[in-house]
Order: sequence, then C-alpha cells, then structure tokens
Amino acid sequence: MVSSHESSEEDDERALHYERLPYDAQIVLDTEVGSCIAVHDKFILVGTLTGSIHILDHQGNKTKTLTSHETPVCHISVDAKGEYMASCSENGSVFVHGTASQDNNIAFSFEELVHFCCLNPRFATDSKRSFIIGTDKLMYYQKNFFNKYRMSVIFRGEGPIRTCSWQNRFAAFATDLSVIVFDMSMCAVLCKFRRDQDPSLAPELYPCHMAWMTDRQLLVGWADRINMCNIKEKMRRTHSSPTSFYLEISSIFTTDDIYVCGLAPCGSNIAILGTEKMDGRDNTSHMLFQLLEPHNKYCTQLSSDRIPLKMTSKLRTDFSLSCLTSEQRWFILSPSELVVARPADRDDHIDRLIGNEMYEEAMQVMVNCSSEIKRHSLLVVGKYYLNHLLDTEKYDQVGPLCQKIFGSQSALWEELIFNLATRKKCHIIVNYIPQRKDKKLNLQSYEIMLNEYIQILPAQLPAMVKRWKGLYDPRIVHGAIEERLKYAPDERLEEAVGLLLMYQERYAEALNIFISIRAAKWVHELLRDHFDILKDDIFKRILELMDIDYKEASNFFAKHDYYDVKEVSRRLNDRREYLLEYLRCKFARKPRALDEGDHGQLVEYFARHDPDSLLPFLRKSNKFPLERALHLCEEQGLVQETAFLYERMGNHRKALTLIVTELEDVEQAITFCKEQARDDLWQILIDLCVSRPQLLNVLLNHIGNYIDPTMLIRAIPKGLEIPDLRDSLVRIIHDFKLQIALRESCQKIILSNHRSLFERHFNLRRKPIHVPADSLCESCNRPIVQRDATRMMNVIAFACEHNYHDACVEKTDDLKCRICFNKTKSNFFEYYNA
Amino acid sequence: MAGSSNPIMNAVNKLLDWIKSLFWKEEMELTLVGLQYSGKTTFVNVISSEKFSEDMIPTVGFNMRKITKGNVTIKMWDIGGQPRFRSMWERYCRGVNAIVYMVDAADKEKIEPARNELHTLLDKPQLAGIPVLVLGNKRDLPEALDEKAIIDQMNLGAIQDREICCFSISCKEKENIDITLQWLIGHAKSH
Repeated sequence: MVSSHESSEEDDERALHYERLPYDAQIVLDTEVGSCIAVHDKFILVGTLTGSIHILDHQGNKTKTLTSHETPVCHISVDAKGEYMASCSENGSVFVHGTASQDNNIAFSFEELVHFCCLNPRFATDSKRSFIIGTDKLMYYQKNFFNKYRMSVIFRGEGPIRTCSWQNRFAAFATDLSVIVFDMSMCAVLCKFRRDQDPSLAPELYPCHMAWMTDRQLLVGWADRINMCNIKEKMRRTHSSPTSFYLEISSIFTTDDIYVCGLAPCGSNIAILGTEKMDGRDNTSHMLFQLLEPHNKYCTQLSSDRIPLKMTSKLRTDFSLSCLTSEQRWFILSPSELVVARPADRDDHIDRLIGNEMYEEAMQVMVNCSSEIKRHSLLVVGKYYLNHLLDTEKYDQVGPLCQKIFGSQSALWEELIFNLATRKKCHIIVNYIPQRKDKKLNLQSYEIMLNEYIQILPAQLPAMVKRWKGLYDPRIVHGAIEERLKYAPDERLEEAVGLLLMYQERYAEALNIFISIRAAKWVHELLRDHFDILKDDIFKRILELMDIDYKEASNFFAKHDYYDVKEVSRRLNDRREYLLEYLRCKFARKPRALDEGDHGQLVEYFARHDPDSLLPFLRKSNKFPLERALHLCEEQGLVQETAFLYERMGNHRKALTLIVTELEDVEQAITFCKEQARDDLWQILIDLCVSRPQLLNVLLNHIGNYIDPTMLIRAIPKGLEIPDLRDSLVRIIHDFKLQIALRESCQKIILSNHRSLFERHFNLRRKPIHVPADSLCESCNRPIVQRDATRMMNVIAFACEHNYHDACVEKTDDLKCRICFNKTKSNFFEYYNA
Repeated sequence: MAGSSNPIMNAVNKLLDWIKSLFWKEEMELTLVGLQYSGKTTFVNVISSEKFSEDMIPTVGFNMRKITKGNVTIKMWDIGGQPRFRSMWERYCRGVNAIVYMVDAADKEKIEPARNELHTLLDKPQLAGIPVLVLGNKRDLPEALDEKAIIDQMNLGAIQDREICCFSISCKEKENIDITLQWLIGHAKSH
C-alpha cells in the first residue's frame, strides 16, 4: 500500500512485491534502531539497539515489548512452535523464556561478547531443552535427568563464532575462517570447510551467511561466493551400526553483481539480499534482492530488483534477511525499516494499475479475478475509476460503473448526485439510480436532479416528474419551477407544473394549466381520473377544450351522461362543426338522448358532408323527419339512401324501381323482395327486368332459388335478345335437375327407413310371451297357473311380462298393462328399443 | 561430549524420556477469533484467572496466552476482531487443535457479519477439518440469542466437513464456562 506510489515510477511489472511493514512496526523503527530479527509464521520478533524486543504480528501490530536487555540485542532465536525464544545482548546477557508464559525462564550473563543464543528448533518438546550459545567458543546447554542444565563446549579455537543456523538434526556455525556443520543428535562435527575468498574482502564486513534450504541442504554465502552443501548418509556396514553422514558440496559459484548480506531459500532457488558490486567495489547506495537458480558451477539470475524503498543505512552489515519458508515471505531488516518481500499477486497488480491511472483495466481485473483479490474491494477501485471518469469528463460510463459498484447503497448514490449536481450532470445517471419504491434514495437527491432538469433540460422535465412521482416533494419542485418561470416562460415547465399540481391533488389548477398549454393528453387523463371533481369546471371551458381537440372533447362529453344534450348543444351552437361532432358521438353512444331536431341536423350534416355515414345513420335512427331527409337525398343524388327512405315510408314499389333502374343492382333487388316477402314485388321485379336484358340473366341465375322460374321465363317477350341466355338456361335446368335428384334421394331414404322399422315391428310381434309357473296376477296377487285344472282361469299376458287373471282386468277394447300404463312415454321407448 | 554419542547412553536416555512421558501433560493449541467486542480477551481472562472485567481495551493484533487446566496445557492465540485484523485470522488458525469462534449473542446487528466472516474463514482450504466451537457470549443480557437461534442464524447446519459445536455462555456470570472447557480439553491431543 505504501509502496504502490513509490513503485509506480517503473512501468514493468515486478515479480516480487516490496512493502514496509506498516502500523506499529514502522513506529517502532522510527523511534528505535533495529538490530536483529526472528520470524515465526505467527509473529515477528524485532530486537533493537536500546535492548528491547518487540513482538509484532504479520500486519505490523505490536503485541508485546520485552525489555529484559539493557544493551543492544545481538540475536534472537525462536523455536519452531513459537513457544520459546532466546535472545542475547552486547553486554553478555542471555535470556531464554516462553513467548506466552514466563515458565522455564533462564538467564545467563557472560563476560565476553555473546554473538548468538540459538534454541533447538524442537525446544518446546525437547526434554533436554537444549540450546547453544556462541562466544569465542561454542557452548551446548542441555538438561540432565535431574532437570539441571549442563554445559559442554563443543568447539573453540578459531576466534569468535559469528553465526549459527540450526535446522532439526543439523546445525551450522561460522567463524571468520570456516564453517562447521554439526550433527546435533550426536553432538559431533560432521564437516568443516574453510573460507576461500579474496582476503581483501574482510570477514568483518563480509561475514558468512547461512540458510537451510531443506533439512539436509545448507546454503553458505561469503561475500560473492555461494556454496550449496548436501548432507548425505554414509553406507552402513551393518544394520546395527548408527547412521553416519557426510557433507558434499553440490554447487559453488560466484555471483555476478552482488555481495551477500543475507540468504534465504525460495523453493529450490536462492533468494539473496545484498549490495551491488560495481567495478569490484561495493556500492551500498542501493540494496539488491535477487532470485537465483543454482547450477553446478554457475547460477541463473531469475530476477534482480533494487529494493524500491528507501533504505537509510550505508553499512552493509546493518542489513539482515529472514524468511518464512512456508509462505515465501522475506523480511529485510535495516536499522530503520522492516520491509516484506513476497511474490506479487493480483492485488499488487491492481495497485500498479491504479498507480498508473489505468483504472478501467483495474476494474476489469477486479471483475475477472475477483476470487484472487483479497485486499481491494470493488467499491474502492470503482471509486478511483469514477473520480477518473469525472475528472476526464467521460460521463457516459459513469452510470453503468456506479450501478456495478454502488448497487442499491443509497448513501453512495446520494453522495454522487451531490457531486454531479455541481457539474450539472445528474441527468447522465438517471437511468441507473435506484428509483423503485422499495429501493430509493432520499427526497433531496431526486429534487436536486429535477432541479437540474428545470435549469437545463426542461423538455424532459414532465417525463421525469411523472417517472419519479412519489419520490420527491412536489411542493419543493413546484416552487423551483415557479422561480424559473419568472425569467423564461416555457411550455414544458408549465406542463410539469400541471403534473405537480395534479400530484398535490390540486386538480382544478392543474386543469387550468393543461388547458392553457393545450396538453390534451394530460387534460383527458386528469378528467378520466378525477371526473367527479372536475366535471363542472370543464363544462365551463367546453369551447376551449373543443379548440384543443374537438373530436376527443366531443367524445368526452358524449360519454358522460352527466352533461345534458341540450345544454351542450346550446353552448356549442356557435361552432357548428363542434356541435355536429358532439351530436354524432352522442348518437353513436346513446341515440335516444337526441331529439328530432338533432337527428334532422345530423341527417343534413351527413347528406352534405359525409354521405357514407348517412345510410348507417338512417338505419339506426328513428326520429329524423322523413320528408326532409328524402328531399335532401334526392337533392344530393343519393340513390341508395333515397331507396331506403322510400322503403321506410312504405313505398316499396318506388324503392324497388329505384334499385333496379338507378342502381341496376339485381341482387340487392332480390334481397329486397325476399325481405319484404310479397309476391307482387317479385312480379314488379320481373316486369322491370324484362325490359332490361342485361339484368335479366342475373335475375335468371338467382330467381330459381326463390320462386318458380317459369313465371319469369313466360314473362320474357318473344324475340328479346338476352346476353348470356344460354348459360343462364343451363343454370336453371341444372338447378332444376338438382331439385329432382334431391327428391328422389329423399324418397329412397324414407323407403329404406320404413322397411327396417317394419321388420323390427314384425319381429317384435313374433316374440313369445313367457309365463313362469310361479308368476302371480299383478292385480289379485294369486298364482296364475293353478295345479287344479278345475280352478283354471283365463289369463292375459302382456309383453312387459306382467300377467293378469282374465277376471281381474276390466275388459276394454284398449286393454293395457296397468303397471306399465302409468309409466312415461320415454320408458316405453326404452322398453321398445331394447 | 563423548558420553552422549554413546549408543548405549542414547538408548537409556530414550527410555527415560518414555518414562517421563507417562507423567507428561496433554497439550493443545487454540485460536480464538470473532468480531470485535464479542468478548474473546475477556473469555481468556475468565478461564485463566477467573476474573471478569467490564472495560477491556480492544485487542490490537494478537495476544498469546498459556493456561494449564488440570493436566492439559492450553496455548491460546487471541486475535483482534476489528476488520483490519480479520485477514490474519487464517494465519493463526492454521494447524491448531480447535478454532473458538466468539459471537456477541446480544448484538443482533452483528450476527450477519459474524456469520459471513465465519463462513469465509472456514472456506479456507488450509483450515479444512479443524474442529470449531462457536460460543454465543453475553447470555446474561436479556436480548441474547440462545444456542438454537445462534445455530440457526449463523447457519452452522451448512458446515458439514468438520466437527462443530455451539454453546451459549456468559463470561460475566461464568455460565457454561465449565462445559466449554470440558469440550476444549476433550480436543487436546495427547503429546
């Protein structure tokens, strides 16, 4: 985060990301001077020159400060479980104690300089609680069976022992002259090899640095020479003999451009902190951090960064490097900085994009790789982009972006609206803001936006006023518009005022405005919704309303029976076209509401201006003056209508004559005759047609269906030439034949029906009547069949299986079963059909 | 040190270690997480010293505590609950014997963020299988949710891949602290 701005100068994307550990870590190193560091995966220990040790978490928050030492802390060591730590100071004091509790506290004091105190990595679980202290000899401490510490010197004689590195079974120590590797389980030296550097590179300035790559692989760096050593098992002679090991140096190489200040593993590669090698000299102005891939005699540089953060110290021994192997986090401590290096992730990528003002790309990464991003939120990155868009005045993208990042968080939208209002650009986001009843912003936001419309976009104001109905306070918006109208009248603004009045339920005022600006749509919407309130007001302004759109207005007045026809007609008397339109609409809806005078007016209007509508009107109307209408139609030459009027007056003959002679429409004439159903009309029709051969054949074609065609054929005078007569005759004969065939077929059907029914009847009559021996008379309930022949009586048996004694039934000609007689006819048919 | 390299001495030492381990204590490591003001540090204080204090300062970063209960030594990582510390929760939960998730049962507004944070945390692959104990603290307050409501509102039923348990406790009144400790000790690993 801090680094993002400092590193933005370089365009190329780094593989590693560097940042200062913030919060307390920064504060501590601003006030104190860092001297040493130990890293555990749950916390970081930083020792300072004032002698305190700070326990920090990985975010940089300080948990605890230990102030046991009074002089600069030289070395801190922590066990693998993070339960115990050991520290030593320049005055020779050494402390070993728990990080969480104060048990197992051990304190030593030495006369000589203590370079390190290194805990067994398994200290917490090791029953011997062993550790090593390095002065000019190597002292190994472990508890005996009686819980007492016993010290043994395991190495001495090469001057001060500067560093140590203990990983599980093996530990490595370095003096100014050589490296000694121990097998700690046996407490035996495994190997010792000497430094072979250029003697001008003094070991005080270029001390040995060591790091374990794995439990069996050690990394040793002196100045610009790196050794990689593998610990290997010796072949065992017998199974019982203990395993013994030997050391093999697998790779030795000299770095190209770096003097080592710290070493750490990076998977199978090597991470190196160091100073730049320039013309064989040491350049301490920049610290380098390199990743190298080791080979047998050389190495490949994977990356090389100048740490992009300011490091104050110029003394190369002030720097140290620690590593959290499990996570690939490297900690670089200088007297006043603690920098964390780690492989760059998506968040760093976004930091860089934002630093380079590539906000659109940053947004894209945010959306595409959302699962990999931990630190950045869509909202924060989105806000950067938003500010960029506003600064560069790319307003068209603001709406979609904000919809994406704000969602329905009203506070954010409201803030944006205030911001946009100052630029008069609110209207660019109207389609994106929350504007539903359940998801809305505060009233002021909508009012601010409407105010913008009032000022710069009055044309769209009415639509917005309507769209956001209920989301703002109409009185406030109304006030704003009134204010504006004082300077510049605008019809759209007035329209909006009308709508606002409508929403305030001031309907009469709204109506006045709508009429004055001739907004027919709103007038009629208003009238439709609030007729009861406005019905008298609008009647007073009937003419104005007619002026706006007389058709719709007429329709309106015709629709509502509240308005008396006479009253309306009186008011419209001066404007004939309005009156007639009104009457027409009223007639279409409710013909009975009009009197004869109105009908007369309408007849006249139709006859003169709209002949097509006249006939339908005449058919519907029953009040118009017939004589006058006839006169008008004859005057205008409207034959069809004249014929209709004659028919209406009872003069069928005249009507028929008109249809045939003027219209020459035989089919209509036939329909006419058919409807009247009078034989004399047919005769008239025939007479009229006979003198017009061209009509005759149409007549011949159709008349056969209604009357006997011979009547017509006889009436045709001899020698009259009739066009297409042959076809007509053929048609007539054909029709006739068809009639005959129809009759014959009917006869056949009837005959066969008759025959089948008769057969059925015959069969029925042949059926026997079964009289069982135990049957009883239905009347007297005594047995029908008597054993005693002398008492035998005559029996009447019915087909319905009811039997009676002859004596038990009343003898009539029409003798019927008494039980079945009462049953309905349908029952009989059921029985019959069975 | 010539003696220790002797194989016979080594064997004797190993034997002594084994005899010692018979009397050795059990040991466990816990991580205590949850939103701010849910009472994590208070809980640690209550189970370590049985002292309750109303006014605690918010934890910055983490606290390390080691408590011995009977023959079990409990190491606790008590992590700050404020939003900026939540990204560290995962780090401190790695490899522990159990995760204790503290919820302020009386703060209904925080139940939803608490649920989201818990589920986000448990979704981390490195924490798979670690048992979780959800504690609804502050049951002494009248508006506090009971276990059922916590299980329901924290959507604990959706967590199927590990052992999960929920108690309603009060650090102030020291209610249900005993069953909580019992549960925790039951999850200690013999060392």
